[in-house]
Amino acid sequence: MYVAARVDEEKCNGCKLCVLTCPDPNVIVLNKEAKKVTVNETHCKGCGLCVVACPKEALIVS
Amino acid sequence: MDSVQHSVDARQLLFEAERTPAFITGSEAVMEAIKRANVDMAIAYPITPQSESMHLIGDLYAQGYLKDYYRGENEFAVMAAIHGAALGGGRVFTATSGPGTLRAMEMFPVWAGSRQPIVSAFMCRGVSLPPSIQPENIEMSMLLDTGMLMFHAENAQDFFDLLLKAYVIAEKPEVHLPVGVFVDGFFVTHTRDTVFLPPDNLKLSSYDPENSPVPVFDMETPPIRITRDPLLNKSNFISYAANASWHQEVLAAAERARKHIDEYLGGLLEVENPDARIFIAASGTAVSQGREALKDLLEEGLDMGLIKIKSIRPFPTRELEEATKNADLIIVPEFNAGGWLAREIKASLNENRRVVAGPRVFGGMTIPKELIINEVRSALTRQSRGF
Amino acid sequence: MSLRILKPTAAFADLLPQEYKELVENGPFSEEKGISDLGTFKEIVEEHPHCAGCGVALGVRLVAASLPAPADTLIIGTPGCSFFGLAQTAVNYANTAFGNQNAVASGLKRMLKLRYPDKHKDVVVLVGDGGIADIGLDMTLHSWFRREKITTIMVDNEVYGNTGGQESGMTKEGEVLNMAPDGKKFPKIPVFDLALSSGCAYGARVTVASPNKIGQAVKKAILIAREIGPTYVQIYTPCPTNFKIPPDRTVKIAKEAEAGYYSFDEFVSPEAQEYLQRYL
Repeated sequence: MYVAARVDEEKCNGCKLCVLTCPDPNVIVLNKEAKKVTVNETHCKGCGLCVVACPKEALIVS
Repeated sequence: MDSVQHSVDARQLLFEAERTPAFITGSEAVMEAIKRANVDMAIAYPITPQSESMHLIGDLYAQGYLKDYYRGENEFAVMAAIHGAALGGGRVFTATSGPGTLRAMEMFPVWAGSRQPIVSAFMCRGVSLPPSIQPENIEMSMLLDTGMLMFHAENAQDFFDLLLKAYVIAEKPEVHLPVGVFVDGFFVTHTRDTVFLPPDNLKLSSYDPENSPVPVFDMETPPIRITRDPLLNKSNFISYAANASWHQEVLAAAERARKHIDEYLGGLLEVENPDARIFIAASGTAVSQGREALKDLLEEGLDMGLIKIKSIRPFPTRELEEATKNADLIIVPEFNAGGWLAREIKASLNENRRVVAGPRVFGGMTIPKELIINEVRSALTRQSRGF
Repeated sequence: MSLRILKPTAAFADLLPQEYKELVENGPFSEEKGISDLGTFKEIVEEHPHCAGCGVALGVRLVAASLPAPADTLIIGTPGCSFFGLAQTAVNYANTAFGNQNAVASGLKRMLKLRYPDKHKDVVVLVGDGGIADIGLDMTLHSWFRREKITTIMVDNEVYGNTGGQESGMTKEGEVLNMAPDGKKFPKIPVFDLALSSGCAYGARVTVASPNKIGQAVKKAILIAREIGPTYVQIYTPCPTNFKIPPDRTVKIAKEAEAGYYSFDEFVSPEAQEYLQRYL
């Protein structure tokens, strides 16, 4: 429903590069056990910096 | 420090302790007041004619009466640092004059809006252009709506007492506003007068930041996320609402100060010959000159009185209305070109055509009593001719 | 800060917002957290109205995550873009008048030293380029001349962003912005060099493309300011909005600048170096 970043869990390896480029706090969160990130859609502004940062192309803004 | 100082109740220091006379300058009176005021920190910047006072405060620091003191780089910086120090929860002092006041202007509504019980002395002098270092209090008119309380001292005794009383009133939790203690520069600061002083081994008890209506800024007082600034960036509506409500609270706090001013200053104004039909109404040094004129005019048999206005903010509207209800004429001598005190008085009275906004001198001139006497005579003549 | 004052009573805890509960349970107040922990703890910056892709927001977020002792940190800011995030941060934050932040910080630090002589209260200035290099330059320099024990951090987006995109002292020469229709006529103000010559014990020049470097610089700067002297960190935080760039290019622009005029640089006084070695 929101324009927000979305994670392709199969491609994500939990490297957290996206976490370090997101300008907004507490949006991209690491699930330590699964070693994958999740995006808090209600707080994501859809800027796309995480998409650019991800080396695995695991993120998309839609 | 020569001897250990004892913290005492304010009433004891101000009203009960035995006083001995000292023949001192107004600058020295500032020092004597701050010596007994248990101030944590003072910050100074040079400008005539308040520099001498702040030199002496520096000496107090060197002697151990203050815990910190330094010279800042300009008045805006000094007043900003005073704001920072007050945020941290201590008792602070500073002073300035004329152009220095104007340079620091932005900070005065910041102090008031932050509800900080800062006491600053203003030793008034002319502002540019043309430049004048001589006495004039036009700067007071520019501070009337900053939210600060304003007391105007007539002489060195007033100056001494008002500085101490300013802290007591400022720090009442229901008030908790900055106070400006104003004096006309040079006339008071650089002349000697007899000032009655309580013993210097007595001091006010220290400021208790937990008695503040706003939380102290020290990461020890909840709530942790404190900002003194309306969230103008979150929404304009919140900004309007927060800003407006805080301003209303500042105004209300000044109103709540009235009863404390009555208690500690003995009233927002003083009246001599309350039944008189003609009054000289003044504040600061103009009161002293008014007294001289009053003596002569009384000898001539005129029905004269004097009103000394001590509190400019809050302004003694009700008291003035009461004091002048039977008066025909109110003369307002002032040391400034604008005539701000006459404006304030006129705004307080229903029948304000009785108010004569003069004589006014500026640029550092004195007001000889003859000027005031002539003003009274001219006004009476005009009245008798029906003007 | 004692956590006692942050923790709600059990009965009240249910009523508090989720964000607050997370801050108490999983925030950085009881356990030291750093850049590498981001994504696994509740950050002290809360939701804010910075533009999407804002470099300043990223800068503020990374600085907040690098504070060595958030429980005893006080931030002084000033109007601009930076205060959008700072007003939403779970530390004492003061805004006051534009440009006077280093004077306010001087007074605050000294008073806190008097009131808490046995504790470190980290007073941190976190302000944009306009507030430090233009309107606040004299007060910034004088706080350094006086050797005030405060950390000054500039989030440099090279523009007055919040007021609609005007040229600032830190704008590059030739850049066309509002109030500079023919391009800026003079070079970027060398605040980093001024910090060194004004007596700062530590200085670092970093960008948001290197979050780990920001983390190290901020931590060192705050630690050194506790005992040695004033410190300065300048962070390039590009503004996509005012420079009319897509919001996902912010970090790339910073990265490109690192290869040129915004290369990593650091100075550490011998005293500060010795202090770091003792401490770390």
